[in-house]
Amino acid sequence: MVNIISEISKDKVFDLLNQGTRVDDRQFSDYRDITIKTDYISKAEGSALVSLGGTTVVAGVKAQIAPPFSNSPDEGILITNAELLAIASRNFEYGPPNKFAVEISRVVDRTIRESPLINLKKLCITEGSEVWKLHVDIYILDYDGNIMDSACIATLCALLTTEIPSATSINGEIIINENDLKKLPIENKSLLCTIVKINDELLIDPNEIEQTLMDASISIGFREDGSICAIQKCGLDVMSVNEVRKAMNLAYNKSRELFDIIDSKL
Amino acid sequence: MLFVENKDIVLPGSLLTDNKYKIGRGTFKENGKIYSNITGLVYFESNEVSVIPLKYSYTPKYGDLIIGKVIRSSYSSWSIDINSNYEGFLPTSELYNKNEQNIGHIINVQDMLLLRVTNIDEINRVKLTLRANGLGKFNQGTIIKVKQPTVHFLSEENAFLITLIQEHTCTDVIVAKNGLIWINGIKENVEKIIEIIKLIEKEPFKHNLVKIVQNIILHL
Amino acid sequence: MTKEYIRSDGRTYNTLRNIKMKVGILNNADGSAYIECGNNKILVGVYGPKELYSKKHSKPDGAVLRCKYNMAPFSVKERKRPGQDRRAIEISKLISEAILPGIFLEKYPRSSIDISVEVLEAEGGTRCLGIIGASLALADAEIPMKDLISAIAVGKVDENIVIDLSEKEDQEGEADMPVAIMPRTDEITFLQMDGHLTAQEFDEALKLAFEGCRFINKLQKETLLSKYGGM
Repeated sequence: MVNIISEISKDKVFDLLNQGTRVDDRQFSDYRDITIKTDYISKAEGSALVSLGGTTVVAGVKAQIAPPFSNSPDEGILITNAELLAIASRNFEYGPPNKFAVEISRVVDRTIRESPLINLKKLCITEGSEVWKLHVDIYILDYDGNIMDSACIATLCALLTTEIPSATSINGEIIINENDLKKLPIENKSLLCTIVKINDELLIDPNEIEQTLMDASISIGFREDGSICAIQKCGLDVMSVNEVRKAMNLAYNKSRELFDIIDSKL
Repeated sequence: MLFVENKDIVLPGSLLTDNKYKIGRGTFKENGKIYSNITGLVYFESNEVSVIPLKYSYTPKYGDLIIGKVIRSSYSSWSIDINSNYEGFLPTSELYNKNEQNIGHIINVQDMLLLRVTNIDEINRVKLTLRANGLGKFNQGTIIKVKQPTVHFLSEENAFLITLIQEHTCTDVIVAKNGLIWINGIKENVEKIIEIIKLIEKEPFKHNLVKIVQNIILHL
Repeated sequence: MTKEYIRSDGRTYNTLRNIKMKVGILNNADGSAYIECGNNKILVGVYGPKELYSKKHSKPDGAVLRCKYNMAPFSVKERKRPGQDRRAIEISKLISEAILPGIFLEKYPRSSIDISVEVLEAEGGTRCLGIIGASLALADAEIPMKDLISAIAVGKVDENIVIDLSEKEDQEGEADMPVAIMPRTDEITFLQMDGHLTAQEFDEALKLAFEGCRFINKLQKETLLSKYGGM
């Protein structure tokens, strides 16, 4: 058997897992280093550049005034969109968001919407005609696994630092005061924590090779108070009830740490 | 006259010399002057000037000894990953044992082979061969991937180092031009050799590197 | 025209905005570059050359250069809808034509070189920065080139010929002229103009653009060398 060093093979990952470590020397329950840079894009109302190990994500928030949806005339609008840029990986291609990008944006959207991170009612200017419409665009710039968590952290940090001008309706006319900026009406912070199952082991924050080899993954959204606000299981393999419980415990503990990290960096 | 010094880092379009050198890889000639066409290290040899890329990119050349991995088999040839922008192909006619009935028994997908480049045509199809002494399939050993300056250091500039290593450690080492090095021997010697190669890889342009490496080998 | 003209952002006619370049910042791309100029933020990634298996898209006599210029939705004041619009398609074509004369494409038959220019934030002059970044990323990918391509926009604002137009000057000025050159041979690879210039003003603007490109070229070289500087 010829052994090729510096080319990480499937067998090597499995071998290391049996010994209790990972290809990048992490413990099963360790996150990679997280860096957060907010107010990165000055043209956006809010933005954050987040890197989680080798994965880099930028999220930008644009706010504009628009008519509300007819089924919620007194609520602002929040739209999340994710794109896997062709520069991020050899395997990503140009074109409209594919199923993975759509899944990421929808899971992140649910996590912040169900929490709810933002009180959308407070983004209403005139009921039935004018509300704030927030577009969150998530750009994956560099890929090394676990887009789900990094995209959610970027979205959270971008929204937490977003400032929109005050808008008031006077006699049916909207007056926007660009000099009076205020933060968004934040209710509950929330974030995602992803755990993958490889060879019956549960690992947190998978890197690219681990994500490729995974049997299944589960992303769990936690609010700051510890309650669960979203769950997404992906992958082709099954997970037992026990595994799900174990993953949930692990994710809960990690989400505490993540909130602390985010608080210290904002 | 030379416009840069030997082993300087040069960039695309850097003027190297207006002397009558032969143009080696990584260079081009325009109006009698020789320029670099990539980011790399310039080497002036007796009558040739070349620029060695700083990363892994390998450009196949006729006669190069390379290590490749079989990635696909088709009716009359195998496709080989040769750590380059292009795949190589090994036609069945270039096998060592033509009488073997079942080719699948000799070469399988994922096998690592020691090959030689026999031809590169005008559209960069790289034809490989196994028909020469010493070429064939690796059944054991360790392979590491290195950057091009390390290959140049170990195979062209100081080929004697490999002989020295082999003699001192009783280990087999083959430096292939495409940036792969095969090492076979007892485990601790292999590890020591990998350490030495990593040292070279870190600073292949360091002054006196040959002496330093030579010293380490002699003290193994 | 007075040379003492002070522009709305405090610069003189021949000063550039703060410009910062970096190469090799992406993990997966074969070559990459990041440029900040004023508030412009541009990320360029290069993949290739890689063998193309489809005969329809490949050329037997050289590599196919595929260039995509794309603006992030949050890069401009009014959110831009994702996807390529007509402007992006034109700029993609211009960037690939601006850098193409510098590349030895004939060395890589049957292959493709893919360049993506991602504008994360735009503040005037993104096409020139895209060209500078693409050239740096190609050099970082060790793709053979005759020279690094440098580019800069010049224009006319308040009757003055100025360099590196800001977004405001671009919109309010009388003329905008982005230029890209191969500095070693002084050949022009890209030239565009919109607005009004007299022939004399054009000469003056072109001269200023060449000065600017030489300065950019110096920065490009320093950026590449500093990456390997530790060696």
